[in-house]
Amino acid sequence: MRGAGVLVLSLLACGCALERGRETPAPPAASLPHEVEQAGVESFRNDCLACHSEDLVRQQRLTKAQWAKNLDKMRGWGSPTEPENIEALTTYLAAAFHREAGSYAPETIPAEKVPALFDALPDGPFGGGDRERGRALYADRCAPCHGDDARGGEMGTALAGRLCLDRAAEIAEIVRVGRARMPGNEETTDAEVRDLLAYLRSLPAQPRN
Amino acid sequence: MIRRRDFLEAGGLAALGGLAGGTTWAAAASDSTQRSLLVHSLRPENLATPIEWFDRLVTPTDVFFIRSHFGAPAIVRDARLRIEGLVERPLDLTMGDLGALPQVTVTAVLQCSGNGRALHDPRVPGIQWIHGAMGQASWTGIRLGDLLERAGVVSDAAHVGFEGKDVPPKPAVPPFHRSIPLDRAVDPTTLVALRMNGEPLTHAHGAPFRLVVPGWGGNHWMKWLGTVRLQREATRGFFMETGYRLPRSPVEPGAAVRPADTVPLTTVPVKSLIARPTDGSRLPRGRQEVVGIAFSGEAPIAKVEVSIDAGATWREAALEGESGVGRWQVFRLRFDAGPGAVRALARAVDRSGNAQPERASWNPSGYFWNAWHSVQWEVV
Repeated sequence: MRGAGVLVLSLLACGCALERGRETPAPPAASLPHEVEQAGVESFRNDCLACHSEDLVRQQRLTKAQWAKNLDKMRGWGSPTEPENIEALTTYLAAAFHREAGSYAPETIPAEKVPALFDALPDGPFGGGDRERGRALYADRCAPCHGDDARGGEMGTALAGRLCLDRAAEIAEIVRVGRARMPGNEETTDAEVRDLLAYLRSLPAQPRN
Repeated sequence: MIRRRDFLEAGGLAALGGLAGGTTWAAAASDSTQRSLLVHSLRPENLATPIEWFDRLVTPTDVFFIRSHFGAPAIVRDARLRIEGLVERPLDLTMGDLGALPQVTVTAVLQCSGNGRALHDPRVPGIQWIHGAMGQASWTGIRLGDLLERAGVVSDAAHVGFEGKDVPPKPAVPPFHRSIPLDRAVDPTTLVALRMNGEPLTHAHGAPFRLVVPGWGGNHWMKWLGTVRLQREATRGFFMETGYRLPRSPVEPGAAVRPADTVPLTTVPVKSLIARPTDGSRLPRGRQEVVGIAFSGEAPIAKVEVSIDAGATWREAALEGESGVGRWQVFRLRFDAGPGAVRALARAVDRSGNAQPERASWNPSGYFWNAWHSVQWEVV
């Protein structure tokens, strides 16, 4: 496997912790200059995987023109891909997941494990926080990326009203380990996570339009 | 937790079962150790039902496919359904209020409009569903028409809008809001469901409330429903004006289609699918049985035919279960075969005369794949 074809991802999904350590298939050998592949994989990891799990991309079989069109749509929907990375990302996706890339066999999950993807987890050490302290903490550390109202910003995804708020242990791990462009902060205390959650849970679930 | 090996082992077991003398996929699928879903994406959650489950009238909830655009919302603890807009009396109903109203049960197919997208050629972007983004369940809840009558629909209302509680991941992502015409909303089969297969709806399937629109594509069956709004016009936005639309008339595969040349997709076209034998399996010589399901969103099924000679001749399969619009029936055909390869084709016709086509009508978003299903297996 060449260059950056292997991604060891520290991905902790809102809603599941099943995404760690997955592998991105390398593009066909000798099809891409190393720097292009590396830049493409980097952008893929940073820009696509904030909202999508990797499998969603891996199952596609598209031409470069289709990838370009799709990326354009995703940028319109808030993907933070920088203009200088668009060509590398498109080239990488078209080389790795093109029409002749072979059949895609979805992985399986035992039916008994599916409800756990949608369940609330016990709050454990993260219950009963202080909303006002959480508000201040959020404004300081989270709002720059996730938006003042926690409905997503230029970099970060929406948090208000989403299932991750029912899965405190996963939120704590994402905050500490990071995901996609989000840097982890291992120093985050249980009390800080507790307060942040208390604040995020107090936000309205839906914007009124 | 998720292992590709499961997929391979399951296929291997089926082959071994065939060699050992008659253990079929159905037996394997019914074994609790084999109950699984196919993962198309974990984030957002999109999971498919393995094909061997389409040999029965009701798809069990634990293996019923799951579709979401933005991932599930936070679990709704104080469930409320609001009915507002062009009504005389806006309603704000709790689960208790809804549970106290007359309940109706409808058995109907829920099929994602993108089911079979991976089979369209040329390929198009989106979840690459093969066969598993469908299932049939019994849905229990309140007729939407009853709720609208309580609210009192104002005379110039013509459309009913639906908003779920799932949250777009970014502010620039359009919300998944949909509407249906008022006449479809007051159809007696259109429900606000509280229960699925006799149990309270699960969060994965849209709890606390989910719209049920039998015969229409799954994009109309709003999950995590929070607000119902009576409107003069259809809902605007990406998921009405760009997504979930079909070319006004058939186009060449791969053609570009202007938005102005598209219409909203509504009813699910006639379709049959073979659940067993599975493609590539090995079965003992003697009695062979082709089993599957057939349905149409336009009319009840009239007949299902199976060919085992590449379409030269067709035999009518026996149908089981109650017939209805948007309701599937099981078909079954038995015949004897000696050693060698067998290929079966299935096609259905509904009572309005709509015939399942040999090739599906390609469209830019890959909706409604419904070509004749072909399965090949080895008799040994």
